[in-house]
Amino acid sequence: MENVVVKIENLVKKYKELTALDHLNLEIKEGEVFGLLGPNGSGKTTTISCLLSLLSFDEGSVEVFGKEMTPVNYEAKKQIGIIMQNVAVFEELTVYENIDYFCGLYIKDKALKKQYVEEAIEFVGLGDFKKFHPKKLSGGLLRRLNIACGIAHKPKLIILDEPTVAVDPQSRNKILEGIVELNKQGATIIYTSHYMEEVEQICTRIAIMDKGKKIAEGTTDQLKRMIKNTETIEIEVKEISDEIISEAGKLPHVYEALHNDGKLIIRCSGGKHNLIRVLDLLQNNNVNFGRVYSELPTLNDVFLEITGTALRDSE
Amino acid sequence: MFFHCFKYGFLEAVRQKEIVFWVVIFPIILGLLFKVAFGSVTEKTKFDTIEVAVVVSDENEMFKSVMDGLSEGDEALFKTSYCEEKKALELLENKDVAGVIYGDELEVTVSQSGIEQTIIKQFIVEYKANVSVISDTIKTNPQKLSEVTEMMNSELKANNEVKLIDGDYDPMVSYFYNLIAMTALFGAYMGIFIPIRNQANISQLGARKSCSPIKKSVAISASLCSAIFVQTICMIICVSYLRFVLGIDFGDKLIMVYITAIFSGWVGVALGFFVGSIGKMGEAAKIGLYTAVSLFLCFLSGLMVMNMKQNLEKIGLGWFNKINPAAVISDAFYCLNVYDDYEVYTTKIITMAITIVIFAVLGFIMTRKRKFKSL
Ligand SMILES: Nc1ncnc2c1ncn2[C@@H]1O[C@H](COP(=O)(O)OP(=O)(O)OP(=O)(O)O)[C@@H](O)[C@H]1O
Ligand SMILES: [Mg+2]
Repeated sequence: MENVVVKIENLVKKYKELTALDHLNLEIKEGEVFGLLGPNGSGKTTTISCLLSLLSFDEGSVEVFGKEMTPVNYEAKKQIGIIMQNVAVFEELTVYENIDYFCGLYIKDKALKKQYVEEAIEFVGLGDFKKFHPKKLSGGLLRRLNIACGIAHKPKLIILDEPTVAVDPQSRNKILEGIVELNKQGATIIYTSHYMEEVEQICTRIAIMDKGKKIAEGTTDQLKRMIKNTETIEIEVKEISDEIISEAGKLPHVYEALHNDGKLIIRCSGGKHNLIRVLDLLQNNNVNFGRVYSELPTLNDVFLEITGTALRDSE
Repeated sequence: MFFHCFKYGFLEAVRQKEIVFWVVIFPIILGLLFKVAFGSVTEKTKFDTIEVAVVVSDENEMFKSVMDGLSEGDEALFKTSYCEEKKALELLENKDVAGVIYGDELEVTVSQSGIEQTIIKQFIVEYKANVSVISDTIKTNPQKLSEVTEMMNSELKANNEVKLIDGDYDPMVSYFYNLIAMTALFGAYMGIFIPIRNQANISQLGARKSCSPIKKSVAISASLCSAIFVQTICMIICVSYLRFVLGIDFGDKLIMVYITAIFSGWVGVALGFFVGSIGKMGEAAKIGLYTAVSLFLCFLSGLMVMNMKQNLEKIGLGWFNKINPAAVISDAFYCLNVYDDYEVYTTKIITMAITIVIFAVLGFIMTRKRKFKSL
């Protein structure tokens, strides 16, 4: 079996009355891109902070690289690269100096440090901005600097807490590609986000969190197999009688049919040709319809089915 | 590792506009303003004409002509009012004159002691010593009398000057000492950032640093050393500017002034370090808090309002200024400049050293925490 890099057992963290983490268990293996998915306030950052021994917790244990994680576990800290949710760089230092500063906290050898810093700058594509101060960088570039500061020392475990918040799609893709590249180079990745598309795109394994609890875990496919929904059909329909809707609900494999906001929404579980059967029904009853969408289930559907609320609603 | 942090601590400090402003630009501007405002005034006050009341019989022509000689011209030593004894004492009581001279008895009455009073007494001594020369001159060569009085005038003034270097109070220089003291306290702005940027629960940077394998004590002491280093440079710049650009005369104790200034700068850094380490407040709040506290300390020490120290003593709070850093710093300079009192000076320096140690240690104790209940 692969080595276990992070092992979190029965972690409980309380902020006064609020239980931010409720008996959380996670096991992350070497070489994984592990996605921690959950809506705002579900406890992702809290998990990371406990994992890094920044936060004290009420119950449970955290092991990193097989040893208990403590604030003075310097051996483990040397192997970890951390990219926080909020950008944390020195305003007074240039791009190069910022990366050099953080890299220098891990790497003593000067020549090696220099090489690593240059490589990190290359990696995030900030070559033209070495002498810039963070204030002069755009949001996306700043995020990239933030990432470079966290990975320059070539850590074995990289933890990214929502690194793509407020970044345009192009920069976001660059960042995601970079993360995959780091993983290929051998780093284990922990990636938190509330964008399921991102997580679906890059993560090899995903845990979904809600209200401090892990509610599901597995690969994307495994997660999707956990739910009965296999297809969601949306059809733009202005007017439709309740009888036809209820008739649609009786079609084979359909377990839910409703009309909402000018759209007929039909959820199916398993089976083929669901769309054709629905369209036939509409045509036979002379119902006018506009665009038609058919979607395979997303992680949002997984989340929705397990918790009853959409991931996106809580954004 | 230590040097790495020291180097970047240095860059952080010197590149912060607020710090550069308060510890370099501000003293330069204020120093210049002081110089413009007091520069010319002081030179005059140094040799201000001394007002005296003279009680003398009409027949004593000789004394009168000497007094008149000394009261003539732009650089007259005295401004003389001849009057009856009763009137003269009244003038003295109202502080309209610095002293009463009895020309016949060659005696002086003063109501307080000071440079002016000393000069009046010296004049009488000088007059007595030269009385035969003067009477000869008046008899044989009356027009030469002015030369004699001029000589007395410059001699008495020369004495006066010697006195100043010996440690007499020069109000102008004390303004510049206050300026140095203020600059020293501003050094705190460098210290404030150190705990903030190393505490995971106060700043993101602190959280990030806490995740790295550097020991917290190493990181903090390196930053503290760089702050002390930068502040030392700033204090040297400040004193050098006052001395060599504005030409402020710190007497023959320039080296001591430098040492005192540097030392008080460290007090500022330690104070800031301490303030930075208390509570979860952010940078802006702590800077605000420190500014308020330091202004209050300066106020109590009399850097802003004269007689503040005396007033505090009256209400039984005199002890406070013995530990108030602003007062201790300005007192140390006063000991150098005004009182020439090395014993008191040494106690002030020791007080500063204790202050530095206490606040630095307190700061370290407060920042030693590594794991937090809440971030
Ligand atoms: N310092 C704190 N004091 C009190 N409650 C806190 C504190 N920090 C976080 N919480 C609460 O703990 C819960 C989990 O917060 P956390 O920041 O871990 O969520 P998150 O999943 O990272 O959310 P986001 O997507 O917004 O970053 C939230 O309900 C939050 O309000
Ligand atoms: Mg978060």
